[in-house]
Amino acid sequence: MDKSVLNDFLSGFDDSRFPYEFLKTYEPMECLAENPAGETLLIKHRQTGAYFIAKCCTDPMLWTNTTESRLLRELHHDGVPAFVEEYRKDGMVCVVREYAHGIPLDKLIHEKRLTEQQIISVGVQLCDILIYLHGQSPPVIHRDIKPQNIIMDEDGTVKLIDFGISRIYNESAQIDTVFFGTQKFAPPEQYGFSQTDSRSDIFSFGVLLCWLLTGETEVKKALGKVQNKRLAGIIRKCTAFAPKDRYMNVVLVKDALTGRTIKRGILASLCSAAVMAAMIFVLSTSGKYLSGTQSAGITFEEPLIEQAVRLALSKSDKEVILKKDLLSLTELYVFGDKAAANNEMYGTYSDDFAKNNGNVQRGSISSLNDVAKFKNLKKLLLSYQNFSDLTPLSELTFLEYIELKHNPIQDVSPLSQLVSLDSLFLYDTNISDLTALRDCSRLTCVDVGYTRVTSIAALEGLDSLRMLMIRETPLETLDNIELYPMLEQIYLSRTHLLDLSPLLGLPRLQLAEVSESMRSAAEDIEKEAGFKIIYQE
Amino acid sequence: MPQQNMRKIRTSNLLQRLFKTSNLETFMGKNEDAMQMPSFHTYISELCKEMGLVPERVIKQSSIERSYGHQLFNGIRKPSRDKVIQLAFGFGLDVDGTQKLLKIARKNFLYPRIKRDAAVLYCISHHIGVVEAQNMLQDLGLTLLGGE
Repeated sequence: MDKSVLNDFLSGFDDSRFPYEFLKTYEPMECLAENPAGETLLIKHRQTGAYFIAKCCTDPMLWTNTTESRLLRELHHDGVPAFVEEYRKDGMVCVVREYAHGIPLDKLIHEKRLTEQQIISVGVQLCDILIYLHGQSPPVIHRDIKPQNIIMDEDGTVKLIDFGISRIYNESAQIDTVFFGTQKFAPPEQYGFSQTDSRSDIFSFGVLLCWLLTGETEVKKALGKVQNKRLAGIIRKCTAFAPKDRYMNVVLVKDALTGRTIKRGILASLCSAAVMAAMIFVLSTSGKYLSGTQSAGITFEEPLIEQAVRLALSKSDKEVILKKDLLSLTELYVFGDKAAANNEMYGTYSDDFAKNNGNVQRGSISSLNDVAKFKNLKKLLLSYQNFSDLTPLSELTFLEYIELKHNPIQDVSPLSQLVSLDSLFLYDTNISDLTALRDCSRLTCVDVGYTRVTSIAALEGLDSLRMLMIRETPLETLDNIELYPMLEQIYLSRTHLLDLSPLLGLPRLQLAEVSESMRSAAEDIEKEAGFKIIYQE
Repeated sequence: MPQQNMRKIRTSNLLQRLFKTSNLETFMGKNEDAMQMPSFHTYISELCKEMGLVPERVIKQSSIERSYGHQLFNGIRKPSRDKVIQLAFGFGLDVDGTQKLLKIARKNFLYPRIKRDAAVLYCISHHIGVVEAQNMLQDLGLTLLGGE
């Protein structure tokens, strides 16, 4: 290229406002948003080619309050992009954070219309993020919940971005002195009537829900268009003018969305009675419990679980594990007597076990009480142990993937509230029935091989199933399999099935796995089958 | 040639004009009713007719692989932002025409305050073709179009 052209271009261009190290490390690729206070840029790491987001702020008034960097450093949640780095220069601060892959809801809505179920899923995921934020001490209020700040990826997973105007709730402050937020989605108190608290996010959440369902943000006008009366009621309550008339917290919003309000109400009365009884007991026995100090480090009941936590968090045996460390724990792996740091290592132990080479012995875990402390856990793999009670998992609402093979488990009902659960592996357990999981609307993959499941009725209500493994069970009939029309893969080897024709009623089926001994039954349907049949020994 | 109809704008003027605009959305009238926008493939097909061009030629001038280009015109594929910019070169659009094309593709506008976009804007406003534009990006140590 002609040097004079390059020089002409360079003479008219100046990006010296950015910190030097920032430009040395990243190449700005696109401007996602800009206003007088600064720019939000899509940037590319010059060495790795990975994408990140940079918020480059030029307004000195906002620097002193730059909450985004401070907040993001403290937050560890898959629904919140992680803080990466901060660069400073006279006149500018650039906060680099993880790039949330996907499309903001405001753009997505032009490409495809979300179904009511998808909208509820967005709502539930957003509730989980807000429960996490509002559960911080002190609570973090986002204050700018709107479609542009919610990114959805191809799997339908959402992330909440832009913590630029978030604030940590200050109980002593009476009102917000500066109006931020996006008018259509902001609650009245954000105009300065009183201080915003978690109910302000609830207001914006309500407007968002209304917009997702109707495309409109004027709730009063749009409510008539919401056909689902339950959702209309939720929107109405979220967007009440006075904060006191809204839901008290996001847990209640989530309960209302998932239809669990009534169940939780009963549970809450029972719990509060139990808490009262416990308090009376403590007060009457000794006052010292009330003034007891917080433990410096977490103690574990199960050594194997502790080992797995240390591996996951890269903590040596001598290092203290604090409660806040556990917030970043999202995955936990143990197979038999081997704790593993990741899926790959777990897979190696699982293979060793399958080869029966004596390398893996049954593990010693008999209680999951430790696991109840891992509030952000998404993936739990604890196979070949001795525990049977799953109650400690009942509050881990972020759990998406559970693998508990080769354990003496009989009852899955403690998992019934896990709305994020999408995969459940219970091979070689004593399970006979999964109907308690009917409210787990995201549950798409289930392995109940080598269990006591004897009929398809054991799966009643699991309408979203796409993959079902039911090998090595005394299954004799596929009656009612058509009640699972989403099924794409089914694994039936070593069952007692003689008739596979009900599989022809599954419109989405792509693959059926059967035993060699079931070949004649398979050949009977092969010509009509629009799916692939594979044979196992 | 569409370029012949274009007004030559000095870079400094162009950049100054764009710098002065405090809000690009206002500049480009982004607040127009977004729902009324045509689909991208409809728009580029119409643009071809309007400018008396055939897709084959536009694709070639864009340095986009032939079958991929036709898929963009057929609406089978959705373009990345870089592909939209390449098509703007292929059509020989001016700055406003390029920004409009990006808007219809629902991509972010070219932003003159970051180097890569500024270089692209420079090339577009100086009627520099896509190959030369790629050379310029290379010389400046920036990611080439299509290399995003």
